[in-house]
Amino acid sequence: MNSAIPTLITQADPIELIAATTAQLNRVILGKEHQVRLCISCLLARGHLLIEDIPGVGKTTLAHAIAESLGLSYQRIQFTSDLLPADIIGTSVFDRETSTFQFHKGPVFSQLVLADEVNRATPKAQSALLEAMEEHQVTADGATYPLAAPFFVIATQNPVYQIGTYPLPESQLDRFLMRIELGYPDATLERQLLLGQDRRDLVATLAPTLSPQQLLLMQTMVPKVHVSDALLDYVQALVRYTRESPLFEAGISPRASIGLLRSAQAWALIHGHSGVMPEDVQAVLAAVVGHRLKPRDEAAPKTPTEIGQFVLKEVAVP
Amino acid sequence: MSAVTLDHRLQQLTPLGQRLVWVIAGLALAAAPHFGHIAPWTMLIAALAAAFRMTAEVKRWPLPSRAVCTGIAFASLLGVLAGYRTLNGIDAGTSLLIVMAGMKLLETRTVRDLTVVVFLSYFALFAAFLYNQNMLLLPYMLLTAGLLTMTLMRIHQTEAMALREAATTTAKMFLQALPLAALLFLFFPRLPGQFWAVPARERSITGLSEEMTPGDVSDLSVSGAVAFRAKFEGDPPPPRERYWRGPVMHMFDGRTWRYGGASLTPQQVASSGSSYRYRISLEPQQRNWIFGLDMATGWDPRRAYRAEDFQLHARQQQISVLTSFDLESSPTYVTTGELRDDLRRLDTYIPRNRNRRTIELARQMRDRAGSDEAFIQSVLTKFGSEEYYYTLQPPALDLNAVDDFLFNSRRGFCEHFASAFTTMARSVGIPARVVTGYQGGEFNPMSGYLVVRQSDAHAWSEVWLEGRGWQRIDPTAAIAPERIESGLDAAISAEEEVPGRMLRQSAVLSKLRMTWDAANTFWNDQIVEFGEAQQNWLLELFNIKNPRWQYLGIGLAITLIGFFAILSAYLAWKFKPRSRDPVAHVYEQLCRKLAKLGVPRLPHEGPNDYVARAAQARPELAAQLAEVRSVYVGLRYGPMPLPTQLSRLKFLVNQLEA
Repeated sequence: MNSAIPTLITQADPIELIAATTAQLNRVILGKEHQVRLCISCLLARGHLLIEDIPGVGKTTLAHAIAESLGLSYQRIQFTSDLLPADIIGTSVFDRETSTFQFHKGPVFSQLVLADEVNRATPKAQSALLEAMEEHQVTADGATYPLAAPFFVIATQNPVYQIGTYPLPESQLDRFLMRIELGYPDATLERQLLLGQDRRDLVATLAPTLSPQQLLLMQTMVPKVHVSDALLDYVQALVRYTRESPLFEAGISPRASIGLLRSAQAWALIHGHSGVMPEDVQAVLAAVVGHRLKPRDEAAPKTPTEIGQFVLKEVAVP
Repeated sequence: MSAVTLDHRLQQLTPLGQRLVWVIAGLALAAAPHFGHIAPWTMLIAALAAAFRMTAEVKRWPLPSRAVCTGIAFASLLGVLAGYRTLNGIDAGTSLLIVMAGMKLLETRTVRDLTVVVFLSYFALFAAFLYNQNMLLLPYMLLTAGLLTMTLMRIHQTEAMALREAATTTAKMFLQALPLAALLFLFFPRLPGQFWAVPARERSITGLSEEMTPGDVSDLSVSGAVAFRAKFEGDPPPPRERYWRGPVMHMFDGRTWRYGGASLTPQQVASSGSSYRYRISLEPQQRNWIFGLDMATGWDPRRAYRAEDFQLHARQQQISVLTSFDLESSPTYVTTGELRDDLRRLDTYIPRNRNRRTIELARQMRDRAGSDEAFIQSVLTKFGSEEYYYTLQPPALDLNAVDDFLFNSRRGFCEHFASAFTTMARSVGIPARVVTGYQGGEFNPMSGYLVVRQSDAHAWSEVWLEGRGWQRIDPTAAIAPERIESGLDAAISAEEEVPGRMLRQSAVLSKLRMTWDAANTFWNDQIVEFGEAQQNWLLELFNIKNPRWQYLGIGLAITLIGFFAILSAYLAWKFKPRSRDPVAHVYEQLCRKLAKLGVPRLPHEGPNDYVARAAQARPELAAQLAEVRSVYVGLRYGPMPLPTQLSRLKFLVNQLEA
């Protein structure tokens, strides 16, 4: 059926590769196995990730650890209110020697970009990044520069109730395939954290467990994971529910429903399922649809996680 | 307030407030037909409640507490009870309905409360048919019912529903309901008699009454209201034969004629010449008078009887709804038998101290004439040849009304002439009486009916002549023969105003009026009057003869149940889930079995989670379940389902002990 699978199998089983990666990440970020898997699924599904949480729960560490584990080039952009689009995509500088303008690539030209506190920058700067995410290329001074492959953006955002933020509008939230929260560690893990090594030092010691080439290959495998009619019925039922339910302002877009399926396929792939199963969809549902549904009134669930749980409970598996 | 600002104000209301506006409008429209026949204070209370509720909505006032609502409702209940002395009956019931709908508004907090108000509005609206079954009411009722249905639909939508969409859906629903309504209308058991009929009520329809004072009939002539309609087999009688007999007046006090008053001897009628068969449809009245064509010779004795002075009466107390009778009449007739002494005394009595000049004049004329017949002729000639005027606006007369009329005013309507003539006849000892009724009628070629209106009201005289019995003498025919031949319009001089004459003289308007009347007739005869007889006729088409109403009811119920069963089956078939694949079927079996084992599947549970949970609950089945799970998941969600796996799955599921 697909030539990629035998090739990969000869090198290493993708499940094992991923398992090794997640294991390594879990050593750095304690007690967040599910979020780490979602991260990897998002990456495999060629989506971008939004982590929304209060400062200091390990967002940056997670991003950095992923970059290290996958051997990806890594850049961090700290979003501030005076950040300019050129600070992200780069600028043209006049070169005296050649008497020409030379384009100096910005931080966006790396394989993994961490956009830290994305909601603190002005909408202008935000949209520069989000356009690059969508197009996978940057156009400056009439020339088009392709971005790196794989290209993965992890944006972090403070919860909207914290002051000094420009919350991302719905149209831009829709560009992120998944949105996750990390949350506080539980008591035992926190104790371990307090006793253990500094996480940043730990990250520096990480060795790549997966090459960028292997990652690209696995990305091509995701859309080929088998999807049965019964599963499509379920996905469609979920999508239809969000569109017909009176609790939400609007249902999820077709882009989101494709994203939901791709994420479920990626989840199925890293879990070694031969076809996508309802549980795979359920595992990624909250992360994929939670930030895309806006509650209409007080009767509706409020936080993205609650929304995901709610939708999941409301729709029967066929 | 312009439409734009109104719309803007509406937009500012809460969703409940916006719905409330429509609910209140619907209630107002539904209650409107009751204006005038229920106590005004009930309407006022409902209106105040609506106004308060709306103000509360706009100003965000809190609604009255439950105790206050209960108090007001109880007070209103007592008010209705005090006003009507009962809570039973149409008036009290309707008043209560409208008051309570208003009260309900005071506690409308949820969509459910609004629904209750809309339902009350439906009841109030349809209660209007208990009062009035006029054709004009139908479009009003349909429109209001449509609005109520639209409101009901819209208050239950979470998305704002466009008016147009609601209207389209409502229209569709009405059309869908139409066949059912027609079926129920045609076949719902009709019981004979008054059981289903609306209880009798006083109605303010003016018609002929039990007494006649000069001026009464001319007042009536202003009214264009229909008194009754008659449909003849064959041609209707010529205008000069169209005397529709009503109450006969015997007693006279010098001014006013009164009805009845003596037990009368039955008298025989011998008819000669042609007779007419016809059906008369009487509009509701306060009496039970059937205005048969003079002289009625055939009627259904179970439903009507002919009184001693030849007036037809219905056997019921009051003709309170439109009612039809099949009659036969013969315009040429002779009454036979003797006049009994008591009746002779009654019909020759005049107060001696009144109308002295008339009595004197009559005696002189009788002496000159020589015979009763010649006397009658001379009186009629006097009316015809001297300066008497036929007018709709006769001047008021004093106590000696006949003297005043004959010698002073000389202007009168039919009752003046009939009264004067009868007085003169009695003055000379000829038994005479006044007959009131209708004369004439307009033939409507569109419906084939003769329409008789209140304006055709008439009064004439009857005299008893030895050997010839009662003879009809119409003095109006002497003074204004056009009245008899062509109706009121022709008889009144052109200078005088006759209400509606202009209308009747325009060809287009006349045509419109005829069409309107034909439509009304159809409505009255085919819809309002649809009863047992018509239903039996209809059933005979289906070869069902004289069914008992119980059987008809049961038959109808069975038909309806059958219809809805078929409809539900069709809908179930149409909207049934897509044909399930066999794997899903087996999985459902598995779920049923596990449910019996105490592990029912949650609807949102995926197969892995579910089977894992089941295995945890029933560890002894864990191994079996693990295989079931892997086979099922492979078949249902896997890339290459094998047909052999299906039989394996079936086998495994069958193996499970339930």
